[in-house]
Amino acid sequence: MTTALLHSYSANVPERPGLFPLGDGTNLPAEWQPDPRQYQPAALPTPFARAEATTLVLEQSAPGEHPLFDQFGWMLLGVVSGVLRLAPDDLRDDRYDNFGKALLQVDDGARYFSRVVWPDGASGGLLFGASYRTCLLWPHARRVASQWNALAQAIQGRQSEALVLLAQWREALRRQGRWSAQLVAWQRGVDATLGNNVATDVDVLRTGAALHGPVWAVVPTGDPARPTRAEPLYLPVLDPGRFERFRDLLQSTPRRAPDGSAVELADAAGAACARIETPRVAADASTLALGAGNLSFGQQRGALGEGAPRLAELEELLEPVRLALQKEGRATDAASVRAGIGFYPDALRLLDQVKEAAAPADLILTSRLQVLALRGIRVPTEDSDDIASIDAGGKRVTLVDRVGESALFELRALGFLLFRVFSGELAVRDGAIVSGGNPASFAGGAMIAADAKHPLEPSSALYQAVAAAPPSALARRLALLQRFVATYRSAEPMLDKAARSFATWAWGTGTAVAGLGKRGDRALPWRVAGLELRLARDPLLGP
Amino acid sequence: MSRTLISVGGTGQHVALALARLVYMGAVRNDVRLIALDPDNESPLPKLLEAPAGMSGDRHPLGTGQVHAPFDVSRFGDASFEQLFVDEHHPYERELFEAMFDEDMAGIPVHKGMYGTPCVGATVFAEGANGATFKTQLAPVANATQVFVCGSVVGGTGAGIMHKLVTEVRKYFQGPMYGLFMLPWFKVQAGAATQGAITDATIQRNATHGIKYFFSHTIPALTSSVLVGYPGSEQSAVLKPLTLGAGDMGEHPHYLHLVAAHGLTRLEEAHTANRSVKAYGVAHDEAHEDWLLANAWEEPRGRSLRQVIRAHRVLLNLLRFLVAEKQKNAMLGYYKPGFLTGLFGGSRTAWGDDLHKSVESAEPTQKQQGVVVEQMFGELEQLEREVRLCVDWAQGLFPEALLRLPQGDPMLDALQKGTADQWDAIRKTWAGKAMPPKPTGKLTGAEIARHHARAILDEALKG
Repeated sequence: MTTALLHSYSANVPERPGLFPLGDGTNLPAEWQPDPRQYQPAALPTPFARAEATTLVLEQSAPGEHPLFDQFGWMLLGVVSGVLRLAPDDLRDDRYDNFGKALLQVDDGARYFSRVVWPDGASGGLLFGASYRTCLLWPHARRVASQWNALAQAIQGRQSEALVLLAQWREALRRQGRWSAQLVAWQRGVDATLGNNVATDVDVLRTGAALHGPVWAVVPTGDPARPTRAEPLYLPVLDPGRFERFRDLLQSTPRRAPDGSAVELADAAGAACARIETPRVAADASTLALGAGNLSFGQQRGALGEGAPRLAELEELLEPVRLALQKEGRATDAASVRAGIGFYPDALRLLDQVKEAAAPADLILTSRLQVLALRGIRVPTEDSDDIASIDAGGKRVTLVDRVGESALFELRALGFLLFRVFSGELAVRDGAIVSGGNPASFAGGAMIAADAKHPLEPSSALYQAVAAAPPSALARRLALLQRFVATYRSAEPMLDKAARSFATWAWGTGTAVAGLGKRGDRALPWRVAGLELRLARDPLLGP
Repeated sequence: MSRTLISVGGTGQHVALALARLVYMGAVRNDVRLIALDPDNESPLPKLLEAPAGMSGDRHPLGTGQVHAPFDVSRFGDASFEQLFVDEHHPYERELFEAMFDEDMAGIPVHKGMYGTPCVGATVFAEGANGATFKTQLAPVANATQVFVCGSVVGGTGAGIMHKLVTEVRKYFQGPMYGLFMLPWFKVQAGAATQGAITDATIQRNATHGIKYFFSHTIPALTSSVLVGYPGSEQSAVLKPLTLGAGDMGEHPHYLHLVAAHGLTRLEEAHTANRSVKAYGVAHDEAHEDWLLANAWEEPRGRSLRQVIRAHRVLLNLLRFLVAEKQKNAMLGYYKPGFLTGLFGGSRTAWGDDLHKSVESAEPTQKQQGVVVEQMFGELEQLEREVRLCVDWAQGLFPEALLRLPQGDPMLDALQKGTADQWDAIRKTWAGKAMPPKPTGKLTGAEIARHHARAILDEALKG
């Protein structure tokens, strides 16, 4: 008869003395699993014992069963509600001296971490814990009950909004396939913290929150060969109106901060109304890890600009942030940023959202319309005589005569071009609009842009022409205008509306021109920027 | 083949001492080289390991028994844990340290040990692993064929250091690395805990956490490992519960240390038979508790541990006889005429001509022969201490009923009787085994002693 020379081992022991495999020979025998309610950091053989214990507790326990679980929840809600602030940092920095080096000896993957600080607490800046990739956040060893209570009270007024935001953040990650409570301990902890709070939308996340960090966190990858991986992740922080505020500040002047540590958006008084971090770091350090792309707002003292947002300048200044992301293996094209909410710093995320709002993914707008959209003016989607779209390879080229109080007369301008062809002034040859064998022009330049980015965009000269009063000679050609309107009545809505818009303007009375008389054949193919539009000549002109 | 044993903490030293005895007796091959780590190298246990029965330097069965602190002790002296890291010039460092460790941990005087706090042990070790001293200590593993790390998963030092040690060793050594891990093997006396000393509750707490951590993090980094601990409340002839006073830092030999040493000799074979198994326990035969005595271990001629212990007991008896005052004076009297000769006579009949020839080989003139014989006795006395270290240990682990040394053994029987029979046994053992002069240099008395003691042992091993 044999006995295992082990404390509390009741599984089968072979009859022959000597070595035998424990359990399956690899995994912890079930009877040795510690009670998750009794984990104590002191007993874990690592300096990251508090992080390790928090991970184990989140994996196996539940709120109320272990102080670490509850403190995790308070820290998380503290960050999301904006009471606690994440401060990215680097263990290799000299500030951490030999302690940092010792920690890196144990785990060099812990190099980049975020301190979790309460900046407005009674002590004027109190560390509540820090981040770690397996537990997301771990609590301070020396915070006492009164301090945790004070934190809970500070969160209380914003707790319900924080839970909504946190649920949306989870939903955003879930939609990307980056959520699995079975695989990732901290995600189980977030699920428990959220309880019954479930989100089906991400609207608050997109417009009323910051995404701050990063925190290096283990996330699911969807790859069975490597189910999880530590990646930089941005945590949500309540900030109502953030998107609009950022969008409005794009009117200001982008510039580099004097010390090079940030990009600023400056108002007319030179005050930095917004600051986008571009930290200056040691050669072997990661700017992304240390907060590149984090956005904060300052005090506006002067007026913002009136013109179009200076996006190109801002994009150029933010190129280091994109490079930092690419260095971490993150694609930075619009589609990736848009699809990867939670994995990109705020500046890029919001900038992409502004551009997306200005140019919804499925629409191609003229540059004038884009400027208006960047200013927050909504591109109308309802059908009216003032807007028309035409399909161009999956996207819809959109022209607008009027949006809100802004007059663009884009349809009218297109109508002008159609009229010049209809009247015989211009011809269509080999898919192009020509005048006497040469490409058609107006006021010394092209009438319409013909590139894929801005197909059918009227030139400035054409825009000015149709914005002014019509030449009186046009009003004397009513019959021609009537045949013109009649011809395009059965065409695509864009051509129909363009013809009617022009005719109404040309007639000069403000009333619509009826479509009457003989209709021309729309047999003239005009190929422009991937589109093919069939134009017509006045039938009275003959072949 | 060269095996390096890295022992960690007090438990590691206990297993190392068990192995030192087994190597000394020839039950385990003499290719084990020790690197011993413990912040405390002043207590009786590390002092014993450094020079068991006076065997230090090249004489040590494990190459060396020097116990090294895992951090540069000369630099930090008696600093507390916190003082190893925190200073007034680095406020962020202080802030992070205080976040990770509470006040009690911060105040641990780590030069005395880790007070059963593995997270402190792990951090102190990480600091030491940064230093040149530690890198120098570990460098020899690069020459090893196999590495064994040995210690407790319940104390502060062993448990705290073990995982990081394994990963650190991997920087120098990519070959097979095995673990010998001790689970709780003793209890702490209740009610007598001094500040910071380990308690039973600490041991149990550390055991549950340590095993969990071990399976999650450490096992995957090792080729395979064996875990050994005291099985609950069982008691038997060899399984004796051990209760230690708080802060007791002496040696307390236990059967489980022998079991751990047995693991060192079996893990390679077990791994070859089944490479998928990473963690082993040891099954103990309750009906035949002498099963380890019946095993052959690594003795080159396949003798059992029982036979090896028996032979050393024979040797011990004869050495004790030889170095006893009466016998010693008789020999010295013969080789130092003019003083003792008158009292004890001038005959060497008792010990025979063969020993005398060895003495003559060392020194032809009688006057100088006295010096040689004095040297010889010095070495015999040292050998007696060494063999006693091993035999007493074995007799402490196994009762006589289990040692079951053969009855009717002429050699052993002779040892029970009077002087004449012992001299007879010795003369017969030494017959034809005189040492010739060395081709170059002089024979020393110590060499003569070792040669003739070896002759006794070889004869005893035949039995």
